[in-house]
Amino acid sequence: MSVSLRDRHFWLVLLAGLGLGIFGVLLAVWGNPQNSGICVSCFIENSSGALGLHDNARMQYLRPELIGFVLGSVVCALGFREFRSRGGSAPMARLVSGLFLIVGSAVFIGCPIKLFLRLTAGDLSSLGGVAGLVAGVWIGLQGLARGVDLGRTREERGATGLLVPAGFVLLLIFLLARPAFILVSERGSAAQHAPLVVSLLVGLLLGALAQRSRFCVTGSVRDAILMGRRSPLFWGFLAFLIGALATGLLSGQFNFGLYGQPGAHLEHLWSFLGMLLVGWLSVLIGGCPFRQLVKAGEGDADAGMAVIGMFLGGGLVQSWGIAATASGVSLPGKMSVLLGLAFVLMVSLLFRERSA
Amino acid sequence: MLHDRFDQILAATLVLILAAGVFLLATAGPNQGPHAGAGNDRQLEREIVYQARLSFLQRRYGPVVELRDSGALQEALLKLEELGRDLPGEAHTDLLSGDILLRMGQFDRALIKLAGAVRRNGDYIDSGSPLNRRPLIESAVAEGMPLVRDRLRAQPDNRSLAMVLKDGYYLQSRLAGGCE
Repeated sequence: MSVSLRDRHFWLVLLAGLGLGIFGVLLAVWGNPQNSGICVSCFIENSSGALGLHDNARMQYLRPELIGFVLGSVVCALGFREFRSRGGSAPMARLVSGLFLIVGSAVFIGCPIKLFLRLTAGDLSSLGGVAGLVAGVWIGLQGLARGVDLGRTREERGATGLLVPAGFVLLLIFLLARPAFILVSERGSAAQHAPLVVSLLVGLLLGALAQRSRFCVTGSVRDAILMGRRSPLFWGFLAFLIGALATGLLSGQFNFGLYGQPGAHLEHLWSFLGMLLVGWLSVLIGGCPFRQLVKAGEGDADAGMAVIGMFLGGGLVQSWGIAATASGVSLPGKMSVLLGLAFVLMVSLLFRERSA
Repeated sequence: MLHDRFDQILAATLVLILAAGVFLLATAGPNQGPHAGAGNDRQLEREIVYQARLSFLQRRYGPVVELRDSGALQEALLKLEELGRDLPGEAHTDLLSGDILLRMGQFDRALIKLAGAVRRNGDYIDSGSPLNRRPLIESAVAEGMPLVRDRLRAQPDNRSLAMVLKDGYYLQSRLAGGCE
């Protein structure tokens, strides 16, 4: 191992990875849907529904974890004086990227965190997604190495970085005050949830840890490809996998096999392509859906644009039948993944700095 | 931050607007304005539609259930066929067909029908729903799947059996839970 054990950051990354793995399983034990203790894309689809952005009565619940991730990051960033309003790097491209992050995740049925939670729960149907994510990250890195860049993020006047955190404070008020316009499913997977206070506290803790450590699943894959064992994120990722696997085995959540897995389908090609899209986009915009939330909490308005795009995506994937189900991937789902790949290719062409 | 009079006017107006908002919230009655309670109405309307649907299903499919319970399975299937023409695409037709076919020992057809019902209406596997038929679907999967697998081993080219197996896996996956 070539990382320094005396490095405080290394231990923070390890703690963040371990926490994400352990609580990712425990939240499912405490009431969240099976293998979905933490799934940012599922949570966003649920929360979009609660806000009335789609009408699937089985997918409407304002997920407290999501609010916790952002506000935990805000509190931590403010406390350690790391909150900086910044932005201005291809905001529209980031907004649309956020939308397609949810499209890719919905076609696979899960964000990169859930991908590995499914894998560590013994779900072999997630292997196509793992291959897709790694391939997507690798392709994204090839693009970066050849000059694909959305442009520099700048310090921004006017505290624009506060807007998305303020939006999440409003969501917290909605969560606690429960106004009538916030919809709540009484049946379906959105009706399955851990107790509100537990979800919120876990979200706050993980948001704070992720902010301090910069831990992110896709970032770990990226760093593992680039630096191997020298990267602290690689070890954090390993801690995440071990934490999830051990907690799954101890809590009886482990079910090894390819068939009959919860919230999974058998269209491996589309699992691969959906996660390829997510991996590629994540490299391009600097992080997976979870990382976008945490960065938005640090005052990054560019990540905030991606978060807004993710909420729009959450509404669209349910309204247009894009989201896959256990019976497979719909035609709109397949077309949307292809459209997403076309989008990321176009962005790579248009945002490339070519040497003369 | 407040450099000149213009800044002060902006800040004072901001405070005023925020105070007005808090005042409005604090003093608003439960039913003010044309859209007041719209969310409540939506949730309530959804519940009413759901309850109406339950009683509609009970009324329309009641005779089929009676025939099934009295053991007249063929007659019940015929009655269902008749209902299926009146209510095309209704998941409950598939659910009851699956139930009856299972009682008749026709596991392949039962699995296809039950998978069709769950695809159209997830309430059939939802423990919290009045339409919950988990035990029925679990027993269809538990009894039917080993038989289908055995037959498929003997006839590996049988495409329709392969489709039945796929429906069985679908039901297994839905029964296992997870995000929809």
